[in-house]
Formats: sequence, C-alpha cells, structure tokens
Amino acid sequence: MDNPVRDRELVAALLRGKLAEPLSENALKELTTLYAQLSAGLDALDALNLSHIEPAVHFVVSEGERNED
Amino acid sequence: MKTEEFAFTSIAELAPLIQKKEVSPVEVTQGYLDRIDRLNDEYLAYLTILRDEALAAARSAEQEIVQGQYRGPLHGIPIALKDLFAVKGVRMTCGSKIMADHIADSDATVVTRLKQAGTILLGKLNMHEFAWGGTSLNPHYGTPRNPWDRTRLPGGSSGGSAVAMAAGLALGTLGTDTGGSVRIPASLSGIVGLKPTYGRVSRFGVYPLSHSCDHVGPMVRTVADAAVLLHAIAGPDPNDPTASATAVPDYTAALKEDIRGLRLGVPQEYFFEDVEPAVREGVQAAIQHLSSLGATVEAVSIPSIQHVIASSTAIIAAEAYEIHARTMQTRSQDYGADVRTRLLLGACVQAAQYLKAQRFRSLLRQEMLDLLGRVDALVTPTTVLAASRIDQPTVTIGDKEFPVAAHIARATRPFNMTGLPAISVPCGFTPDGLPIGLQLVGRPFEEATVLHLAYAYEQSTAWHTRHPV
Repeated sequence: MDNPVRDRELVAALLRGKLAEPLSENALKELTTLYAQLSAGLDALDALNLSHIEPAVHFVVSEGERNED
Repeated sequence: MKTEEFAFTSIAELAPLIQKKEVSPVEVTQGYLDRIDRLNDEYLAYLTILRDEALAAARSAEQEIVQGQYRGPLHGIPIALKDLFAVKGVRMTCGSKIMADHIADSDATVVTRLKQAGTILLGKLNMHEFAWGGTSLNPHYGTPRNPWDRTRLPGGSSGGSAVAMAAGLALGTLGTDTGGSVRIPASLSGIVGLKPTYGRVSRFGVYPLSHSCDHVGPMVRTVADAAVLLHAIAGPDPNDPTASATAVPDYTAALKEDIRGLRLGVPQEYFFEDVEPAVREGVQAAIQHLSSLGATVEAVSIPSIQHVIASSTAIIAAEAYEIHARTMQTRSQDYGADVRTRLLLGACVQAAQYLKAQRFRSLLRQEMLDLLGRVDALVTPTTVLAASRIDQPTVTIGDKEFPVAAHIARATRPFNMTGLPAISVPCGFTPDGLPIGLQLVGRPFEEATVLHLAYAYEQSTAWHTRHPV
C-alpha cells in the first residue's frame, strides 16, 4: 500500500548526514516519489522467485575468458 | 579536397588519401579547427578546444607519413573525446561545476592507444553532468544542440560527441554508455554508435558512473569507422581488471554486404511498446529491409524484460552514489538539480534491493543468452522516441505521458544490464526530419556480427549520406 508519509520519513532518514546542504521541500518530494516508484518496481521482482539465482558480478568478462580457453 | 569537403567525410574515406600523401593531416586538422571556431557557439559541442596541441600533433603526423612511417588508418585523423576521458595535462570537467578546473595527470588507456595509432586530438566534448542522464541537458556549460534541429536535444550522456559528428566538427569521437549514452545520442543525432561487450574496452582513466554498467565505445559517421576505432581501443589492460583477454579480431574484415543466412530475433515484448509511431514505422521498415537482404527474421520473447528499468535504476544509482558520496557531503549544492536527485536516489537504495536487482540481472542475461543461441542478433529500436525539444520535459505517446529523461533509455538499458554488444545505425527520419536509429545486439564479444549486419544495412540504404548542415 502507498504510504507517502512513511516513504518521506524513510528517505529523510536515509539521507541524514549525506548532504552538504539540506534538500528543498520540492526536491525531497520528488526524490520520495522516485524512491517509492523504484521500491515498487523492485518489490515486483519477488514474483520471479530469484532467491536461487546468483547475483551478477563481472559476468561477461568471465564468459569471454571461458571462450578463450 | 577542399577544407569543407573534409567535414562530412569518413575515416575510411580519408585515411587512404592521407596514406598516399594526397591530403595533409595539417590541412584536415586546420579545416576542422576552423569549423569548430565558426560553429561551436551554435552547437556547444566542445568544452575544451586544443588548437595548438592539435596542430602540433598534425605536423608531427605529417612528418612521419612523409618519412614513410605510416602507422595505420587512424594516423593523422582528427578526433575528439567526451570530457570524461583523462588526457594528461588537459582539463577534464565531466560536464560538471565540481570538476571545472580539474587537470588530468595521466592518459586513459584508450587515449594512450589512440595516440599510438596517430590520431590528432581536437578537444573535449560536452556531456550530461557526470554522465548521469540521457539528455545532455547541462546547467553548467549549456546544452549541446541537435544539428538536425537546434531546438532539440542531441541525446546523452555523450551529447557533445554526437553533435560533433553530426555537425561535421570531428572525424571520430568516443563516448561512454552506462544506460545508452553512446547509442541514444547516436540515434537522436543520426550517427553510428557502438557499445561493445562489457570488458571489451578498458575503462582505466575514464571517470566512472556505474562500475558494472559502464562501457566505452566509438561514435562516428559510418559503420566502417566504428570498426576501425574499436579495433584501436579494444583489448586487455593491466590497469583495468574488467578488460577481457578475449582476442581482438579484425573488425574491418567482418564488413561484408552479404547477410544471407543470418538469423535475427525481433522481441515481441517491451521494445515496440510505448514507441512513437514514426519511430516504430522506421524500424519495422528497416527490419523488412534486412529480411530483403537475406536475413531470416523471427519473433522472439524475453519474458522478464519488463522489470529491467527498476533493476537497472537500482544498480546504476547505487553504484553512482558510492562514487560521489564524499563530494555530496561537502558540495551537494554544486551538482545540477537532476543529477543530484539521481545520485541521492542511489543513496536510498538499500543493500538487499541492490542484490535483488543483481539477481534479476543474472536471470535477464540468461534469457538473452538462450535467445542468442537460436538467433545471431536481436533487432530493436535504439530509442523509442525521436529527439525532443530541449524545453519539453514529457512526451505523449498514444494516450500516455512519459518523462523524456526516463523514457529515452527504455530500449538501450537492457544491454548495459546484460553487457551484450549493441550498435545504433541510422534507419530513417520522422516526418519532422529527425533521425531514427536501429539497434542490433549480438552475443558477448561478437561485435563483428553486429558490425556486419549494420554495415550491410548501411551500405544498402542512403540514410548515412544525409547531413543536417
């Protein structure tokens, strides 16, 4: 369920100590919207049952080096 | 050859004339510098112009060639670089205020290789700040202008590179591509852009955006020039552990017009959804043309593709924030508003979210590799929209409205996630006269296949012969 207040509090907490100057209200609002969209998109990955798949790290290079063998 | 005739020639056309001493590198370099002096205020392609250095290098190249020491097809060729490639002693802004006065203290590996090949560096090119955006809107140096319509974006982040090629302000350029930043501006500006396989080209000395998605690639006027430049810069590098030892073939030898028997896959999901009608029509006509040349075309499916934008955003944003975290603590106000927001989005991505996105990335890559076991290449639009107006934040397609900055990378990002080689080649124009790009995607380290297909398409059409100015 969408919860803009919770999202805004989470974003503000995640940014604490990370900025030279505080964000404007508009910038914080925009960032909160983007983060909520991103989180929803990542939550949707749960339908793919990814837990058995290894995270990708430098995959293509290892592929290329195997080709070389 | 008159000076103005150099402007829209190709490396492949000019190199034999330089080798035979029929054209002087000094004359060509002077011609480009004169055009840059005359036109750069209109196009904002260059951030730094290396007039004296370029002429000195051109004189040196000419002397070597006269003495019989011809190095190869890039000797005496004037090029330019996106302003995030380190060139010793030269300013490197990354399109930012933060690095406005930064002078590089060594050469990037690709710069070393291009110098060894005998190229002449004309200057450094405008870009989206720190490469974190697909439009090249730049609040610090001004937005480079699309030569086909100066009220429109050139695409980004390597916008200055595309503008320099489309406006005849260099013979070749390099860009970087993290979510499409070589291919998007190539598509929107009507030039050729090649993102090689992840690991094909060293990134040492190239200011990073996202370590696992960054690629270096040529942006040029013809497919043959992409082959020449890629051959010069590809290969292993002890300074970059991600640079692969896979052998570098002769890409120029792959440029054949016969594509009979090659199998092309056209994805049925995602890539042809939410596409501007003129772009869809142009790309579909190009696919029919490839079929008429003898390629086999079949519909294919990439079941999980619809999740690619969220996953790639999490990965790129988190990796980009990690690079900028310290500067953000001291100079956050000196970033442009859009880039600051994107970087801070990365600050919000949590470790579990990042790893989930990387798991998805493995799945997507496997789906594509499985497909590429059945077909030789995938074919899609490069961008789902043509160049938007600079003052236009959204685009309406059908009854939906999309932010230009996000929608512009829809078709390119999947191949940064999967590391597959992908080229954009001009394939037509909208009714407004704006370029359309065709994207061809191959198997890992099979750049020769996408170059072959792109060359056959290019040579049997006339799109690449049109110039905006």
